[in-house]
Amino acid sequence: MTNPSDGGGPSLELRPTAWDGYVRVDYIPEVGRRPERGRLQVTFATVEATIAADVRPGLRAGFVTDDPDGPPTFIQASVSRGRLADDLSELLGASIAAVAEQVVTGPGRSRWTRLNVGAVDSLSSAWAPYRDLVLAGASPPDDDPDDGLDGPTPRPRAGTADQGLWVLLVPDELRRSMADLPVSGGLALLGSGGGEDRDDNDLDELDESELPPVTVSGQWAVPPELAELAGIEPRLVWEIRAGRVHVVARPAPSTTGQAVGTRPTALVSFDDGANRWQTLIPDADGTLRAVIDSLANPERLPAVRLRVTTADTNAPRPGSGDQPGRSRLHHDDETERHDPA
Amino acid sequence: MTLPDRARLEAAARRVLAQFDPDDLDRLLASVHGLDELIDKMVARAEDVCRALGAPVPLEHDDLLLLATLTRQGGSAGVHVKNVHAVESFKRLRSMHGIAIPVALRIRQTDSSQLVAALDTAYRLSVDLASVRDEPPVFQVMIAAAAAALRPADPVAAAAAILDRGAELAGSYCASSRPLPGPALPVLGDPHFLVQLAGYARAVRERAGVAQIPDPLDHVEKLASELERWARRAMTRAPRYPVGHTDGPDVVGFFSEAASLVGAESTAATGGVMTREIFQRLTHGLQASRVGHDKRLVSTDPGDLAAGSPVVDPIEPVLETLGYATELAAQIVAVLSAGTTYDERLAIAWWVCGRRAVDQTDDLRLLLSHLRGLMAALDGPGPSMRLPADSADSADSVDSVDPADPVDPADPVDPGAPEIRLMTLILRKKIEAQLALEPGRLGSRDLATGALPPLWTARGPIIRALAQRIKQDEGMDGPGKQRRHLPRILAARAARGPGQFVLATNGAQHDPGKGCVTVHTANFDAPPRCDERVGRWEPDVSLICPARPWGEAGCVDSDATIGDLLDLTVGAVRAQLTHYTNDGGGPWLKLAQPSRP
Repeated sequence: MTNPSDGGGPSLELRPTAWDGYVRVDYIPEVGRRPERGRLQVTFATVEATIAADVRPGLRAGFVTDDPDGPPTFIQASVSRGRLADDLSELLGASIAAVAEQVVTGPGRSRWTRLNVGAVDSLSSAWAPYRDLVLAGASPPDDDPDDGLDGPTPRPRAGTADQGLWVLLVPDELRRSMADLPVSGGLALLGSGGGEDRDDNDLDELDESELPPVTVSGQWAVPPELAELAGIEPRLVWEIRAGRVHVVARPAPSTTGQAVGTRPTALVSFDDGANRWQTLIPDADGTLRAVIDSLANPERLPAVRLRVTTADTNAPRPGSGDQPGRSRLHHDDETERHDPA
Repeated sequence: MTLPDRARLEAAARRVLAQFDPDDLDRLLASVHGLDELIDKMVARAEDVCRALGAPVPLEHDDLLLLATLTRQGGSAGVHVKNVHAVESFKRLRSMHGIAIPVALRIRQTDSSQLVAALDTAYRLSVDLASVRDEPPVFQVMIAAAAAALRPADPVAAAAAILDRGAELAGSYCASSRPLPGPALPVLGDPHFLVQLAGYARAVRERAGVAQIPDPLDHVEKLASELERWARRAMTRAPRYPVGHTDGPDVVGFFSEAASLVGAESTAATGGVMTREIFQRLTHGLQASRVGHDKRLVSTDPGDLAAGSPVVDPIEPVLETLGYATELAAQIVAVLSAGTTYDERLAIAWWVCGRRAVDQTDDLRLLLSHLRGLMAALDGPGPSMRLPADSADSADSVDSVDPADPVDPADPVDPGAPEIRLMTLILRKKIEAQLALEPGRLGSRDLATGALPPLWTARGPIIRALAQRIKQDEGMDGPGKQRRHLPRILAARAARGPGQFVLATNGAQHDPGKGCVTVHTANFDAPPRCDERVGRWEPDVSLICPARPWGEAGCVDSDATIGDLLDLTVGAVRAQLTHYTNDGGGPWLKLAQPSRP
């Protein structure tokens, strides 16, 4: 007769759901390319109906269609030089990132792992903005008259990130405006290096009156919890000035007297996978401003990400300093250290 | 010759019966008047077998001997009428050296020795794989069956190689630009699930050396489309073995076909031993007892609690006695294990003994059901100590269950079984420790609550996880938005740890300023919902705090706080529950019952 420590293991469930936390992580090297290029895949074992979409260049994500709070059941991300984009390893969380490292290193290219409900929940909160994006594309506008009882709740939701929150701002209007601009006034395509410091220095000194004039502007609603954390009003203004995109936030009334140094850092970037984060920097009267660029075609402008962190999450992690592919991260560190205090 | 000691044979009979699924046991009991008569007949037949053999039966063959006295042919079951059949059966079981009892239970007289050997291999493989690998159990059991059917020299290595290769093939396939199977709601809504099965099917053929399509991904594509066809067929066919809701898809049928396909049945590589057959035997009864027939869950009439345990003397309410801890621990174990299968009892013991990982979804419905039964049994008016065995009048407790569900008096749970002894020992030690720390202050309910390990660290994520499980179990998945909040409502009602309860009232949660971290709910007009408790402040048990941590008894939700969570009015919450109840409910009905009026 066996004792309870034998014959253990979970009992058989023919129909796992994503919340059961069975996850397969694959690395698929690209054939005929340099060996360090490839794709990382994360797949949850589930029998629930799912839908997947490209959420940004090099990133595809799938979700359970009728779970408004579920984890990404499928993630496919480009890996170059043996590394994931920095923000992606953060979004994946420590346990999946550890398995991802194993399969990228090889020799085994696929591995199953088991997440507990807490880890699935963290993943779900981290990916909330992408989930809303994918599921919104999946379902037609909710005009079911019988549905009045339930009331749809379409508000932008913030995702959790390392000690902070982030949100995805969909630039439909901005995209149209950019596309409408005369060619000469089109989005300035900056190189990937060198621009950021200059912008920060420019903005540091400039009054609004000294900026180029606004060609066109609009605004995004920001989830209240994120605005609260950042100490800004729950909306973000975008302006096109001289062909470049300015992102402007106003401090919430209650925080205007707050010492600038204690404010959590708000960073903004186009979500094109390049992770070129710009810090929102206050001018003389406290208005926060950043200038962002994307290498993308203006007509296919990626969404904009706003990230608020209460800690210096961009600080180099132990042992990461000498790895290739970190240069952009170090660059961000520079910007943060220039933060006016 | 001398016959084995009668007590020894009786104990073996109980051990064997305790491993039967409740449905199989019912069939056995239908042939006799009660459990005692069944055991008597088994022991008498076993003695006849010993006489016929004329040789002593070693101790380690006791279980096989008693199992051999039973026959389960077709729909009828009982003790062998002809001794010669029992003797044959015993000789056969004995010849399969060290066959696992759970496998011995599943074999039939017509089975070939090859099939029996493969079944035994597959059973052991599935146990081994579960302890060292992270695939979903359904994949592990299927590959254990397929690997066993190939009769490899090293089954563990073969199964591991198939699992690794299958995962890699599925990964490569999904990363390629090849077509994904279309969803066949709701059997398989996620195409990657089918691709994984197809990957395993190819890996089995490679292992067996019968992969006839040279390009592996071409083959996976072909296998995936075949699986898709079976999934669609399962959608339109009435289930022979319904899982959960009865008008659902033919889930069991689909997985049998999938096992057939994964196991390369059409090839000669398996020598006629069928993966499908092994998979079906290993999964037999599991789904039925876990989801379909839940009459045995949450079914504890406190008056009958002592049925499976030795005679209980009335206990004086003197809390400091060690005898009290022993008695209470035995009572808790008796209630928790009432009406369980052997596998279920192991899952409960795994939890009670603190070996189950916190915050995992495994066996949650089973554990919640038995915990609910325990709490109902411990519940009584007033703060006075009440032993489960004393509470003859607790039928009026609303937390208690349908009076039409008396505990099965024929419950064969053996108090001497290792899992029972271990649970009792661990609970006793914890109760003694509490009594030593706070003598005289704690009642039996507090002691039981404090002695049971956590099932989760936060309620919020568990509610979200349970809601998705409930959609599967209740057939609420798939298209259609009617009652779309019902799974969450049922989940919030069901997610109660030891000592926790929910009320069907309008009560609002306590002022969250007191020691709770809050989160915004869907209802912006409602106060933020308690999400996490900080500090040492403990709300009164009557205060509603959805964030109560483990071990803290009290009210965790009301209809009003569930409404706030989902942005529904109290009326809408009740309307959805009423609609569900009036429809007859489903497997989660009892777990969603409120605690008090």
